[in-house]
This record gives sequence, C-alpha cells and structure tokens, in this order.
Amino acid sequence: MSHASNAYRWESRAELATALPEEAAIYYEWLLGLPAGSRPGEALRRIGVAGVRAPEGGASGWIPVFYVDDLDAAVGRLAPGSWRTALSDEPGSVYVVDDQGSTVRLRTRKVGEAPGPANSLLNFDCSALDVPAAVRFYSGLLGLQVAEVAEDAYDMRFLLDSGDIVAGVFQLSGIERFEGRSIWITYFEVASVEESVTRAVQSGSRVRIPPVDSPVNRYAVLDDPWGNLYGFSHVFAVRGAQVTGGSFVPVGMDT
Amino acid sequence: MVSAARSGGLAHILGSLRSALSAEVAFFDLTGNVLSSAPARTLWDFERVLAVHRSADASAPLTVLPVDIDGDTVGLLAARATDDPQQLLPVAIDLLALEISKLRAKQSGQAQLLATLLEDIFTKRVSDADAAARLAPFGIDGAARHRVLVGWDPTAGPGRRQLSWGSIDALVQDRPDPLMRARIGDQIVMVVPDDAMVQRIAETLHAHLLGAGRGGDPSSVRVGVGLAHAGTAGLRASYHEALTAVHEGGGVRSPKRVDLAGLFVMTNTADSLRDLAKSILGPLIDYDRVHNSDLLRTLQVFLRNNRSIQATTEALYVHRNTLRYRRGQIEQLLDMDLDDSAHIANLWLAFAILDDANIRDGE
Repeated sequence: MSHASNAYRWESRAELATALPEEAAIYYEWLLGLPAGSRPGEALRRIGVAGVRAPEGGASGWIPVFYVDDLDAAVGRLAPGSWRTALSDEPGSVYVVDDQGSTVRLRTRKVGEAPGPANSLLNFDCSALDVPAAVRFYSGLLGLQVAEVAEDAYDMRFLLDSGDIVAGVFQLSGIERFEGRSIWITYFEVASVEESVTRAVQSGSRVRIPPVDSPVNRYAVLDDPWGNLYGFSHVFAVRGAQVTGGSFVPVGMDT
Repeated sequence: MVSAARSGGLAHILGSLRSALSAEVAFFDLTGNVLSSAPARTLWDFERVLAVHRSADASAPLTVLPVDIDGDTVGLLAARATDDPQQLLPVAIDLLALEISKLRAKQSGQAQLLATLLEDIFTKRVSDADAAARLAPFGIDGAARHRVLVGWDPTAGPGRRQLSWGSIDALVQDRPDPLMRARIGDQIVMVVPDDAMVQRIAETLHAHLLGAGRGGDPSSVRVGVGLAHAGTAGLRASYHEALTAVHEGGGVRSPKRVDLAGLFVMTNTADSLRDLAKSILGPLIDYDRVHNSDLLRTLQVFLRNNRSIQATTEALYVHRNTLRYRRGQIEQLLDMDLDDSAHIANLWLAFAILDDANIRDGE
C-alpha cells in the first residue's frame, strides 16, 4: 500500500486547434473570467494553455501537452501497433496519435531544467473505446503507474506519477460523434461547475455531460461554439488516498 | 420510476428508466444540451437524436420521444433501444414533464421579480438609488456598464412564449442564472455586462428563441442589442436602443450610434423636463386646443421627415401651400426659425421628452 494525493500534478499544458482561434481564445478567457491580456490567448497562457491555433492538417480540438525528459525514450517504450507520430513545428516536440485515434503532444523538458510547477488549473482524461489498451499505451508513453478507482461505476483508471494523478482514463460510451475514436478531454478548474456551465450555455456552448461527481472531482463536459469538446472541473479537497493492490481509494473527501 | 421522481428528480427518473430498459437514456433540451443522462458519463450525438425525432433516420437503434408541457415540446427523451415492451417511455416523458414544470414554477418567481424591477426602471417608476439596491440580489451591479438585450419572436405561439423566458439548463441545475432572462410582455429581456461576449450572448439568445429543434425561419426572430451605458438610467437608455433595433428587422441588430437626444431623455430624471418641453411647445398646444388645429402634429411630422416639404405633405395628406402656411404660423407662435439649427435641436428634444412622458403615462 502506498499513499497518493488526489491532486493533478504533472508538468502539462494544453493547446487548442480550432477554427477562428482568436475568437475562441477571447471566448475561453471570458468563460473562465480571466482578465484579458494585451492580445487574445495571453491570459490563457497564465493557466497553462500553450497556444490557440488553426488546425493544420492534424487533429483539431483541445490537445493535452505532456512534458517528458526524453522524447525518443518515451516513444520507444510503446509496443508496436497502429499508433503514429506526427511532426510538430516546434523542435523537441511531437504529436502522438494512439491506436484508438486520439492525439496528445509531447514536449521535451530542456536539459538541466528543473521540472515546472504542477498545473492545477488544467486536468485531462481520456475517454477510451478500449480502456485497458489506452491505459497500457499512455502508462508506457509517459512512464506512469496505473490504479483502478475503487467502487467507480465507469471503469475508471488513474495514471499516476509517484501517487499523484496525471490523468484519468474512462470507458467512452455513445461514440457516433467521434467516428469511433477515443478522445482526450481538457478540463478547466473552476470554483463552481454549475455556474460555469450556466454561463457557457448562455454564450453558445452545449452541454454534453451535465455536472456530475467522480471519485475526486465534480465535472461537466461541453462543446464550445466551434464544436471543440472541453470540461469544467472542481477537484474535491481530499486529505489523501491510498493505492492498494492497484486500486485508488480517496480518503477523507470534503467538497 | 414514480418513486424515483418523488425522491430525486431528473437523474433518478433517468437512472430508474435505464435500469428498467437496460439501455442508455438521455434527456435533451431543444438546443442539444444534455439535461440528464444515465449513465452520466455518456457522450451522445444530438444531431442523430434530432434526426430520429424527425423520422429522418429510421435505421438508428434509438427511440426518441418529445417531452411536452402545455402543448409545447420542451425536450427530447432518447433511449438506446428500439423496444419498449412495458411501455415505460410514455410514463417517463410524463414524469419528466412534471419535473420540469415543478422546477419552472420554483424559478419563475425570481424571473418575475426581475421582470417587474426592469419594467419599473425602464418606465422611471423607481429612483436610480432604489433600483441599484434592488438589482444587486440578481448579481447586477447597478453602477457598472451594461447592455440590454431584447429578444422577440413575432411568430411565436402562446405556448412557446411561455417557455422561452429562460434556459432549461439553469432550471434543471436549480441555480440562479447569472445571465437571467426576464419576460416583459412578449419580449425576452437580458441585462449583460459590457464585455467581449455580448454579441455571442445575443446570438445564443437568438438561437434559443429560434429553437434548434423547431426548424423556424431565422429571420423571423429578432434580438436587439442596446449600447453600453453605466448606471440604472443607462439600462433605460440601452433598453430603448435595443427596442429600436428590434423594430428595424430580423436577426441580431444593434444601433450604429448613440442617439444623444434619446439618451438625454432616458437618463435624465429631473421632474422639470416635461415642464420645460411644454413651455417650449406650449403655444402650439394651446393654439391647437382653442382652434381645433393640428400645428403640434404638423411640426412633429415635419421634423421626423427631416424638414422635407414633399415627405411631410405626403405624410399629412395636405397641399404644400397648406404646409407652408402652417409653418409660418408655427414659427410665429413659437418665435422660432425652423431653419435655425439650435431651434431645431431644442424642438427635437422637446418632442423626445413628451414622447417619453406619454409612454410612461400610457398614452
């Protein structure tokens, strides 16, 4: 048995590839109540959004950006399969499209650079067609441990780094919209999921999953006005968790 | 299922239905928001649901039923099943309709309070200080800059009108709506902060009024966006600007520039304004009363037609010589020159004040 926290701790960012990127950046800054910077997207950078750009041949939507020490080593840990990599326009970075069709971006930490602060304002989960396969793939890619969430109805797993949550992996149901592929969802941490959802709906977003509790947070999933999937999250204050025999058990949860 | 409805609302009704049908179920509003689903973590394809509802996709393994209240469809219940041997779905839609009605009754009181307050503000029936204090509980900072949105669907039937006052999503969450919609007469009115999202909120209101599931004509629905003004008097001005924009046509519209005369009249609460206007136009009012003439209206039509002889004679059905004669009378009685810009500005303002006063008097 080992102790774990429920905090999402891993150096990560997110990027958005969308139609009308400038308009979308203004939208998210307003939605999240961020004081606008000198140009659209600047305020989003402060919460870990690496960029908002037009789709250029690759995947569109919100894409998690995970930092790794060694790009080649990360990709080298993957078993052969139908996954592929796609070059990024940035040196030391690559897109990885998994066997189930969803995309993440990897970035190399610079040599000698200390790990950046954990990003508590964004978190991610992968809604997978095949949960065991997704867990194998991403735990290998990022070099993480896996824990199954005890007493969870949705076949949920956590990818952990020294007991801290890096991302969740869920079973995806209702897949027509995504043409049979898994999808990563980026969540923004907010004070009230309900209030954020109401504000989002009044401004053109559409609710895909209404506010609901997971073992560690309350969350909701929406489409933005350009059809990009995103979520709001409010992580519960948990005093600790235990990983026992591969099971993640939150302890002492306060909302 | 009935027991679930009594104890736990939408989520329990859908949870119970899912167990009974052994199938995924979801309840949508007509713009595609999932209001509740079982299991909760299911990503549904609303366009597919809508296609099945319209019978355009008979091959889909889905059953979709409308949820109606007072003869108006407010949502769609979808089940990932084609059989319902125990006829549970018809029971479920009745229970969902009851639940929505219950939630709506709970929130309509608050929306009605806001509507009454806004109506009082727009018609100057409440002081600015009092209005600011009464706006605060609705999350509206009376001193900040806001815009007023007015939505109107001239083709909406009575049932639809009753339901378009607010977001079903906010209703289901049973929370105060940060961008609450108030119904004043047949208008939907919103007060929104003056920020980057005003246009998008207006477009969303337009889309919601249109109702994605109803397939109406987009140009039939109108949303007017007032300009940004500070203070509760500014709300009044913005409301009238939005109303003007609504009357200009369909879609989302906003006035191109500030109407200074209108702004002055809407935001000035000095009681003497009407007296000042009457002192300017009084000689015409008195003359008309004594001689049963029409000089006041002649002057107003003349100004509204930009002092065009032809347009004014056509509007009043009088000969141009008659108009010329009346103009001479007006200038003499008012001791004003109708070619003098300063005099014209005064007269224009005086009419704006009287118009506003008449509206408030219900004339």
